[in-house]
This record gives sequence, C-alpha cells and structure tokens, in this order.
Amino acid sequence: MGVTLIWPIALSLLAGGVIVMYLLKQHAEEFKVPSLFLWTEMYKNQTADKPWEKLKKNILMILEIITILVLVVALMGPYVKSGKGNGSTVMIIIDTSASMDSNYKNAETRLESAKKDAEKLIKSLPATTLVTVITSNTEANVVLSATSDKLAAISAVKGIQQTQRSGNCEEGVKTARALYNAYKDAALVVYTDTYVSTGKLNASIYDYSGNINNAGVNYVFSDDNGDDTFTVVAGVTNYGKDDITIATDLYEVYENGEKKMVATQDVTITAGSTSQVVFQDVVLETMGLAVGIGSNDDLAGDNMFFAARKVKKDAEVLLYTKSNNSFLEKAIGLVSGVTLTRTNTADGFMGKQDCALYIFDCLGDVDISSIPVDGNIMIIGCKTGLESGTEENVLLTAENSYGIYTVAVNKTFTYVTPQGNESLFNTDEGMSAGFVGELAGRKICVIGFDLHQTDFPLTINFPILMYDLIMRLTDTSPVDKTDMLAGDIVKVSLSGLNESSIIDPKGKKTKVQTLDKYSSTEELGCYFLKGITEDTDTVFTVNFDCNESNVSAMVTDASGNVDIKTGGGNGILNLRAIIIAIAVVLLIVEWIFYIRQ
Amino acid sequence: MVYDDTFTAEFYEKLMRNRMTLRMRTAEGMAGGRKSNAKGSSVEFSDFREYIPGDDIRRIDWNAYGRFEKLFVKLFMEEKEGVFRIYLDSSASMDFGTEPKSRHAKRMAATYGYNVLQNQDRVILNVLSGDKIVQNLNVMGRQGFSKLIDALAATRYTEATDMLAAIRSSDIKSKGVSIVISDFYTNDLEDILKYLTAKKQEIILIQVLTKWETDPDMSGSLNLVDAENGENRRITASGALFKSYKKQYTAFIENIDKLSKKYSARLIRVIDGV
Repeated sequence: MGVTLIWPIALSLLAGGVIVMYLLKQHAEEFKVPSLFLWTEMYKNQTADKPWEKLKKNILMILEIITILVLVVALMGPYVKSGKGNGSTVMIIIDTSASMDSNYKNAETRLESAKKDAEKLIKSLPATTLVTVITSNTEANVVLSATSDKLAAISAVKGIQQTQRSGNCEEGVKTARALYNAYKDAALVVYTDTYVSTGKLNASIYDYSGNINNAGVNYVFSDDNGDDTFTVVAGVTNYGKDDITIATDLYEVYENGEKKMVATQDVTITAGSTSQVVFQDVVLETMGLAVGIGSNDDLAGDNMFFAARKVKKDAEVLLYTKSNNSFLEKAIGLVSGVTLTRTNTADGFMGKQDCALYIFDCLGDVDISSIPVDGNIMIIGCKTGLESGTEENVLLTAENSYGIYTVAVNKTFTYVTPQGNESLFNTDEGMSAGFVGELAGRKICVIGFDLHQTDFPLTINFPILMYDLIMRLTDTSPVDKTDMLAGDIVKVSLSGLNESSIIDPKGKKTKVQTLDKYSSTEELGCYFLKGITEDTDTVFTVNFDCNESNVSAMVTDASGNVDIKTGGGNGILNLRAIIIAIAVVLLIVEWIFYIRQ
Repeated sequence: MVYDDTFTAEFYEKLMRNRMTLRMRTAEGMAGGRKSNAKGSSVEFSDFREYIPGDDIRRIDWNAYGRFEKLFVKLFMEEKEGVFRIYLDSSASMDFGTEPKSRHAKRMAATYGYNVLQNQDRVILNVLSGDKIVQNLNVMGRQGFSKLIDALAATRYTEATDMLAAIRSSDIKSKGVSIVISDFYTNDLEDILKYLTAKKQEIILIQVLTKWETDPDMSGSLNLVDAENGENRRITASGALFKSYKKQYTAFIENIDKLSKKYSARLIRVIDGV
C-alpha cells in the first residue's frame, strides 16, 4: 500500500475549516422548559460545555469531515502493490536491448512503457527506500546507486536510452546479485521482454514481451564477380503471422553515412519464413553496402543490414620448414585463395616479402625479432623464447572456439598464454601447449610441439584447425572482426601505420592507434577505417542482432522466488476510483441525514 | 364570578356537583362552623362534669343537682373554624405546557377553596412569587369564593420563586391545613415541610406536572431555556440523554414521595390535569 502524491495531505486542513464553520454556524434552536432543575445533574454528562464538545454529536459535520479526508486520500493516489517491489532497497533493472525497441502499447515502445512503469514504482516507494537503477543488455550499467532521492531516481530512469545491443537482463541480475547481499531487505524489480532467472532473490519481473508484426534482414554478403560487378545476397525473414510482400533495396553506403539505392526487388515472404534476395551483377562504388526493407513494422532496427563489399584477393603464405611436412602443406592447400610457397633455406625465406602469413615449422630456434614485420606469423615446434617449460608424453586437451578434443604428443613446449590470446591446447598442469592471438601488433599462432611427434595430423580435427587458423592468420584486415553487433569492441592492428581514424555511421571521426580497442559501436551501420591508401581502407559493420527481432512470449522456468507480471499493469491496484466512490456514498448519506433533520 | 380559560362553566358545574370533605383537627382559632375537639359555647350538648369554682354558674345543671346533690355543669361542643392556607406557587415554571400547569394549579386551589368555604372554614390564599407572598387573601363564607376566584384569576406566573422564603414570610399563628400547590422544582422541600410541621400544619402537597416533563419529546441540537431565570443549556437530543433525564425524573419523584411520608403530608400528583 502506498500513495502517489503526498502534497494533497495539506488539503486535510480543509477539515479544520469545516469545524470552524460549524462552530461559527452553531445556533441551536431555543427550547423553553419549565425548569432546568432536572437537567442540572444530567448536564454534567450530557451537555456540551466546551466548543469541541458541541461538535460531538453533529453527524453532518462528521460526515463532511470524513468526506473531505476521503477525497484527500483519493487525491493522494493510493494504491496497493501486489508485486515484490517492497523492501528497504529496491533494485530496478531495465532491459535496454534492441528488442525493447519494439512497439508495445499506446504507441509506446516496450522500453518507454517499462520506464513509465518504473517511474510509477519509484513514486510509490516510501521516502526512505533506497533505489538502485541498472540497465542491462550485453552488459550491465549501474545508472544510479542506492539513493533515497526519488527525483534523482526518476530522472535516471527517464534518461535511460534505447540501445541496439543484444542481450537481456542477465547481466543486470548478475550485478544486482553482487549488490543484493549488501542490503538487509532488498527487492529486485526487472523490466524486460525476456525471462531471466533471479534464483532465490526477492524479485518481480514485468513482462513486456508479445507478438509483433516484424520483418527483418538477417544477413547480407557480397561476392566479387571479378568483372567489377558483385552479387549481393540478403536473407529477409518475416516474423509476423501474415504473408507479406515488401520492397528489398540495395544501397551503397558512404563514409558520411549517406546511402544511395542501387537496386530494388519486391519479395514475398510467407509468415514465419526467410526468403533470400539476390542482387545479380550490381556495380558497387563504395566499400560499404546495405540491404533494407521498406517495412513499417513494429521493430525498425532490423529493417536494414550492413555489409562490407568483399573484393577477391589471394593471400600468400610462406612456409619455412627444414623437414617435409606434407600433412601441413595439404591442410593449407585446402584453404581457397591461399598461395603457398615452401622454402627450406634461410635465403629463400629472406627474399620474400608481402606475404600474408609466415609459417615457421621445426626450425629449432626462431628469433621473432628477425622475422619479417609485414605479415602474420605461425610458429610450429620451434623455440622462440616465449616458452615456460617442456613436457613429455602428455595428453593435451583442446577446448576452445576451434573445437573440443584431445591430442597426444611426445614432447611439447609449454607456455603461459599471453594476455588477449586464446590457448589452443592445455596440459593437465594448466599450461598452454599452443595459443593464437596477437603479439606486438601482428597476429600470431604458436604450436609448441612438432607435428611429427604426435598423431594429431592423422585426426580429422587437424585440417579443420589448420583451415581455421590459416583463415584467421591470412586475414590482413586491420580489425579483428568486420561484422559486429552493437556494443562489440573491435581491436585495431595497424600494419605500417602509427595512427589512423575510424569514421562512424554518423560521420564522426575518431583517431585510433595500433592495438587500440574501439568501442564506440552503438550505432548500426558501416564504420570506415582509413588505411594508407584507398586500397587499404577497411570497412566493418555493426548490425542488429537477429535474435532480438522476434522476442514474443516470455518463457519462464517457474523456479525461484519471483513474481511475473504483465508490463503496463505494474501490479498496482489504484484505489482512487474506489475511494471516490466511497466519498460519493458519504455525500449521499449526508444528504439523507440532512433531509431527515 | 370570573369565566375564563381556567374557570370555565364546565369547571363550575363539576365543582358544584362534587363535594369533598376535608378532615382536619382544630382546637383553636376563631369560632366557626367546624366541630372542635374542644368544649365550647355552642348549643350542641357534649358532656357533664363536676363544677369547679370559676365555672360559669349559668351552665350548672340544676336538674342533675336535684338528683345527685352535686353540682354539675353542662359541657357543650365548641364550634371552631378550620383555617386552610393555600400556598400557590406562581413561578414561571408553572406556566408551562400546551394546557399550562398553572391552569390546573388554579383549578386545584379553587376546588379546595370552594369546599373549604362550603364547610364554613377559612381560606387564606397565599400566592408565592420571588421570596415573598405577593397576594394574601383571607376569606370565609360562601361569598368569599367569588373573591378567591377573582384572586386566582388575577394571578400571573412570571418570575422564579423561593418557596421556602416565601412560605416562611407567611405568618402562621394557628393550627390548620396548608395546601402547597407547585411543581416542586426546589431543593428546599424538606425545609418547607419541616417549617409547616413545626407550625402545626396538616400538609397537603399538590404537585402539578405536565406529561412532557415526565417524558420529554424533542430532537436535534437545542438550547434549553429555563422559563424562570432564563438560564440556558445546550443539549443534543438523543436516546442516552432521554434515558438520563428519566433517571433524574424518577429520583426527583421518589424523593418527594419519601419526604411526604416522612412528614405525614398528603401528596396529590396532577399530571396534565389528571
């Protein structure tokens, strides 16, 4: 139980006014009696000698005062809360992921509706309650921490911005859980469209999910036809319940964010399915391109998908080995677009330049500082100075983004995986027997054992791993990924440049240096990284996460100490109408008394 | 004879029709029409007794002397007048009611007066107002009734009455009957009874009330105004108030009953003339 407004309580003074008016109005009818003799004793108990006692039996005045007080209470906006937003500390978590940008009710988005509900909740809390406001998407952000200043809390909620990020309230709940135990009597109130487990926390989840009419572009990729034309393929999904026919447009995207339509196609998509749209032989002048649909649906963010124009370019790989390693050569040979050159002499090695990848295989000692600087490096079974020890007859465990399997080796160097790198093989002692990542501004992969000393090349995992590693290491793009989601961080590796700049979709230019991590990726669109020449310019894109396109019914797991409520209702029963009805009844009763008197 | 709202033709008719005898003991006073316990000089024989020097020799029964050779004197009945004092409370409280208590009080006074006068007794009407007697009428004989009625008709009920002080101011020198007609809204009733008893009065209390006083009927917030002194009290009529009043009224009545018994006074209570 609480009230929305406090100030109407001042109007209770009107009741005092009524009393004063009645005191002034008091004019009882005179009634002549033969003698007050018999009344005298009785007066001691029955007469109203003092002004306030005169009011004791005045039913009309009492009814009027009650009516005024009831109306004051009605003005205060009393309500009863059925949710768990009760406690000395309330932690409000608001989902700001892209799906919350969907239309919800009354021309509001889910986030706008959630913010309003949160504001109502804050207003309804007792003055002493501490409010913490947390936003959540791919990461949590504590907007306001444990304040009893309601205005500040409301302002913080109002200031929450919609993002195009993925995620839900999981990160927010994790953050809240960390704070939860610091408070004696805390409650969690989550505003989201995706169920999140709150465990044993005292929590309420307000659900803003629901079916929406939405269509979105899921993917776009381009293929260089080799004749200055490109083939662009886009996938368009209809998440709604009805079949739709929509125009699908291909755009060139310029550095200032402007778009120029190149081609368009109408596509009919049945409900719940994805259609592929192919733009054949289109000429693309810009490195950035986008495919958009002209759909006025409930979620706008996924109506356009951005991509970088892919230009066919072979990568040259130099393999420097002192032993025949046909397994390795064959594995590299499987990678299309890669030209492999093998040398077993230092002369052959020193003469080469402009290779995308240099592979050192079984060379004994390799001085990393003396090897070419213009490409990426793979070192297999060589001593590099990065080792922390050796192990023999070990069973290595691979458990990473390249797969999960085991490898038995006779002997291997072991490493402490450099920060930011990913271990490829682990020993039982927790050391690494190989890693991939970046070192001194270039991509590097180190494998600590000779491929001849293991059965690994005989397994199916070997060519798969080598394919993935070669693809990664031959990519000379100055950024570690080119297709990202909002909020992702991109690592910049400038080869031959000390400094460059990134131009975001709004045309804002940001200076970057090699090894910088660029995180201003909230805006959907094409980001241009300037190279030395136009040829070395790179485009990376930030797109809408298609997982956010169709967040419909909330799937709950019914476990934990949680109330789930429909958003918009906020679990609050407003008592104002009921109290006004009571006031009307009181006025009717007063009228009846008045008539009778 | 006065004819007004109080003394109507109907009243007179009833008065003539119904006679009542008022018993009283008299031993003193002026000669009158009432037989006295004392021996007197009337023609009605009462008894004999032996002569003692100083007796009127004219009353010696010489026939008895012839038979008994002793001197006997004849004793005759002494006829004395009865003295009835009527104390009529003329306080404003008596002028209350749709048919005012004063009307019944006057009629009671007239009725008693008529019967007293019919018996050749004396009626002294004392109209009490304030702390004194404002009218004192001493009548005897049937012709006195007319004066009595005139005096009663002229009585006005205006101010508060201190009955005790007023009754004390009356000069009671002989035995008699004191009839006090009032509503007895006074705390001095016992003192009044003591005084009258001390003055060798047989006492008749006639309490005149209205039905409203026994069972008041009113509603809302009222300012009760005392008819006598203008004092007022604000009350709000309620069941609890009426209950409390009834309790008070019962105690008041019981007190008068008790005092009447204690001082051997006859009590007649007239409520709305009944």
